[in-house]
Amino acid sequence: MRKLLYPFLLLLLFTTIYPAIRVSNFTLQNGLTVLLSPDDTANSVCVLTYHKNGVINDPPEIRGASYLYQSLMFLETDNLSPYERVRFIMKNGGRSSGKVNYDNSVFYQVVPGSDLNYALWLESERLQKLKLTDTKIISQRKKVYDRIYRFSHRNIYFRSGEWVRKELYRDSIYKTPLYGDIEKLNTFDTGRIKRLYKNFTNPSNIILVISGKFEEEGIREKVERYFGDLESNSPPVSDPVAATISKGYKYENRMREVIPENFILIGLRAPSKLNLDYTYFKLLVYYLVDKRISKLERIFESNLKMDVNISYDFSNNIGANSLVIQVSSTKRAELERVRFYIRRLFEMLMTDRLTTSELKSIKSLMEIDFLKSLRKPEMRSLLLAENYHMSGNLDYGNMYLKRVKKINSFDIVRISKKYLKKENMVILNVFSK
Amino acid sequence: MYFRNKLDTGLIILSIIILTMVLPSYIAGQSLEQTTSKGLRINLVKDPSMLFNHAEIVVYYSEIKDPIVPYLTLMNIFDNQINDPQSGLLNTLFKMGNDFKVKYNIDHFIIKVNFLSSDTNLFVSFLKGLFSYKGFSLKKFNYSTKNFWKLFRRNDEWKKVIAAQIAFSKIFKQDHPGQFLITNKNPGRLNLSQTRSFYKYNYTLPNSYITIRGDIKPYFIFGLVEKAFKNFKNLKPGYQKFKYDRFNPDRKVIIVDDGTNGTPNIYWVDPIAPAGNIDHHHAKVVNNLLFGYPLGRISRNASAAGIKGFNISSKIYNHRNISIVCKKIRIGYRDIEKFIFIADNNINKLGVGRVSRKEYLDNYNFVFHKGKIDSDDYSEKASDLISRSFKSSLNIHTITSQEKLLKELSFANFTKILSDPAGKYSTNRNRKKGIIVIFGDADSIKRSLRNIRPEVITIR
Repeated sequence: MRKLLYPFLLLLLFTTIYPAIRVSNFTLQNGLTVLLSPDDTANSVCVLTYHKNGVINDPPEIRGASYLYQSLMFLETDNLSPYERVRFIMKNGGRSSGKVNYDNSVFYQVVPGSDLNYALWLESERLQKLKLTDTKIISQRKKVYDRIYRFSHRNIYFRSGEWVRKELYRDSIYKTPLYGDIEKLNTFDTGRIKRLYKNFTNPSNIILVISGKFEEEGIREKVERYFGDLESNSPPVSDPVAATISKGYKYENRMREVIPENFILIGLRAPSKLNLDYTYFKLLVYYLVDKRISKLERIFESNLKMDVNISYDFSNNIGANSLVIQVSSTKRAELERVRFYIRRLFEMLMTDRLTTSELKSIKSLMEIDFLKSLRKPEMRSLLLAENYHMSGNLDYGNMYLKRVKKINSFDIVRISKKYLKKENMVILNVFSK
Repeated sequence: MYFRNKLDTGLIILSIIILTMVLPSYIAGQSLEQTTSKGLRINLVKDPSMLFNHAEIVVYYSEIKDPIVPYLTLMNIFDNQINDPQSGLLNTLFKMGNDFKVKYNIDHFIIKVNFLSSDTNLFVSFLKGLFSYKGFSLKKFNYSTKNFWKLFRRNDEWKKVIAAQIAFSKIFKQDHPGQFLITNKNPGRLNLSQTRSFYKYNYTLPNSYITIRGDIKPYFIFGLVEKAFKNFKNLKPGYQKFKYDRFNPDRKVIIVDDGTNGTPNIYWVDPIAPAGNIDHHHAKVVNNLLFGYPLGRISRNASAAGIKGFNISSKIYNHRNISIVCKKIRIGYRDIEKFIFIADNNINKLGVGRVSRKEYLDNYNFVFHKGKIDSDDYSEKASDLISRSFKSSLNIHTITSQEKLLKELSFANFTKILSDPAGKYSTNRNRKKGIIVIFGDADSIKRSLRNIRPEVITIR
């Protein structure tokens, strides 16, 4: 009787606690990892290719060259004209996109469930038959250069943000912008840029995720058919590691002739995704700046009725992160007050605990946001792949939720003491003359 | 004796407890469509794969005497800046994670709330608070009228709301809420009692429709809602007094001078058949064929004519007897007139020319598949239910699903509405159609127009 009872109980508990995310994996002979996450209730399927290489894997002399592949990957292949892949997906009501980051690169397409074979074929075309020519690389290099040049000369917010970012990442590899050093970009050798393609096509560097509506039966054969021929022509990239960044406070005032608004940028060094502090710090980000529950918004807009705009940028890297809060106003005096109140709030967080209702609210919101992202096939695929890349673990969903649930107000005091202190901060004031 | 010791007995009891937790949700079924004893229409869909809950509450206005009052009422209830210290209603939302959005519309509003299953009781008390709100005060009201534009512009979709107001005022002749425009003069001349009486008259259970999707127990939630409203008065079912059945979709170009000088936003508004009508879906195909980006006829021809850096996105807004399709176009000052000319050319050609079966199928394919892919989104699913609730204002059991309607489309019927996607809902033929509202700096826009003579409305 007991023999029957134990498995029955386990099964019941499993269906009660883990009802949503089904994930399995296998590896092809060439080293390509495949993650499968079927969802019987969905109508669409997402094919996401996660490359373990990003800009930090570029050789130092051409760091940022990988960023060009964000567009180069959509060029013509042996069987497709330029951007035909995107057109094909759009014609069928799907969506497709790609992004090259510091620690990884991601390309995905969401298509109706019946089009899985097409999606796999389109991805295999990109990985095996991309037509890279010098002319196209030069043209793309110029496009990126022109865009960044235009931004950095015309957009004061962009220029100031870049300065803060550089100061935050100081001596680490993340100091170089994603697009590389703008002064050197046009001198990057096309031959070397072309060779980077091998990093993208190396099957050991790839995690292929299929999620949504598809039949698990026979999927291995399908993947084998489209990706089995990929060969390792370059050494696999090493496992991700947290960057070491030295601390140091920086404060600067800049006066400009003509700016749309006065603004201040407050930059904070944040933990890497590999650090357990990351989830705790994310809770702080929610508390401080998330529009829905932002404490800063409540102080400045609701309590003090100040005329200020608050926005923020929280990087989403694996190895190192930063939070940059921007507060702008037409009145400079308002910004002086803002700085004072932010400093006071930071000091308070280092000593006082959050109220139970505040903590409950933020944790609920974090949980809701996470569960919402699991409902988007491309986000679910990305979360699964990234977590697998970082830890080799398939059960990311429950791990994250458990971590969030465990956070208490003492943790927030500890994290505030560690990350909201002065030597972890960079402040830039940009005022009109 | 099967159970040899206490451990076995304990395990049996444990398994029974777990079974009582798991089984009822399966026995209870997947969804529940019902009207409560107080007239609140409610649609509960069980989707265990979601692990959280998404609710949409729509309140249809019965009567609107002044178009600004509905916005002021919503602001007084939901705006954080006005409600400091936090009202009880906002506090309940805060406890649930504060993941909510209020969508302004001309004849109704929608509140979208996400919450965890453990907060179901809080959600029900939020519902109760919404329909028995007593937090209006003169201080809050005065603050909201004094700072109306500042607060109004904090809504991400304020331009769309203004564009829709303008479009409605141009399209409909009389007896409808869009007849009057929100202007700078409006807020100051109102008083608190107008807001209070608007709330009392419109925020009623029979005027409302709620859909909840997620990891829920439908019968349990229905019971909680019934209990929460048991002391509410029995009211007659809501009915919108204004009509939408006669309109004049002649071309009008209006510039809204909002004091900004960035890239102008153009809202191109066309009326189409209401949701639930087959021509509504034919019109969707026509719209994609023309305004689809980047593959529609207009996008392709505009690119071929050298217009760079533009983009188009379309969204459909449903009302009780009519829907409007709103195309948002971002384009440089210099290209506005050229773009409108190209668009008109393509619309005219479509009216007199023919569409190949292949082109029809390509566009139908897009609309059908996009609808299917989008239906994976919990919010789209809720919006679909809300759209369907417009059609069947009294009986939710007669609703036809969008997917079923899409399957009934035909090439022959499609070609019949090519000359006017509004079909039988339009009273004018053979003329330029569509209301074009351009947001930006009026002087710069006017300088760039040679043949078009726009009307200018200033909102700052």
